Amino acid sequence: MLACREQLELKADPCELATARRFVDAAAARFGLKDQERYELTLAVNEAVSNAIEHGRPSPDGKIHLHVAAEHGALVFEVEDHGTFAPDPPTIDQFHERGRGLAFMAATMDEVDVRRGSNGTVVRLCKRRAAA
Amino acid sequence: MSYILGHSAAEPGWYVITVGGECDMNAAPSLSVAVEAAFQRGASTMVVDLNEVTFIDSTAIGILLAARERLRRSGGDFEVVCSVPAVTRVLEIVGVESVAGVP
Repeated sequence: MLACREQLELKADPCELATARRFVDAAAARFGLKDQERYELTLAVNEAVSNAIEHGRPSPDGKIHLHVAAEHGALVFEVEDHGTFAPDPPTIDQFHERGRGLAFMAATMDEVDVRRGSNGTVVRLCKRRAAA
Repeated sequence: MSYILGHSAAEPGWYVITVGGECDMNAAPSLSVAVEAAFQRGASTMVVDLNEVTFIDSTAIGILLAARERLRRSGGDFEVVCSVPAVTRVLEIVGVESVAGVP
C-alpha cells in the first residue's frame, strides 16, 4: 500500500467515474504533470475504476478505493476493489473489452501492476514526471 | 454525454451521430441507443462525429468498434470524424482511424 496518500472512496457505480477523473486530474496538476500526462493518467485510472466497478457491481455495498501518492518523482495511483463475490464467468466480449482497457493503461503509463487476491483486486498505475 | 442523430434525405442510409461531452461507461447506454437507432432506421453508412467529445474511454470505443464490424459485415461504411487531440490519441491506441473536419 502507498504511504502518505490521499484517498477517495467510490461506489461501484458508473456515475462515479466523473468524480474519479476530477480527483486524478487535480492530484496530477498539484504534482506538476503536464496536460498530456494528466490526460493519460485520467484515462488510465478511468479504465482501472471501470474494471473495478464491473467487479463490484453485483454487490450493492461494493466500494472502490482510489489512493494516490508521490513516489520518487512519480505519481502512483492504486485502484482497489473488494469483489469477493462469485461473478458469472466473463464472456469473450467482456474479456475483449477489459483487454482493451488494459491496453489503454499499458499505452499511457510507465508501470501497470494488477494484483488479484482473495479480497479483491488492486491495480497500481505509475506515471513519472517527464524530464523538463 | 449528449447526441444528435441526423440523416440525409438525399442519401438514404446515410446517418450521422454527433456526440458531445464525456463518453465513459456511464454514457455507454446512451451511445448504444444512438447506434441502435441508426441501425433500426436502416443505416448503411454511419458517420460518428466526435469533435464535441471531451473524454472517451474503452467502453465507448468498444461500442463504436462493434458498430464498425456490423456495418462492414453487411457491406456498409463506418467513419469517425474527429480533430480533438485528446480523443484521436485514444482512437490511435485501439487502431481506429479518424478523419479531421466535418462530416
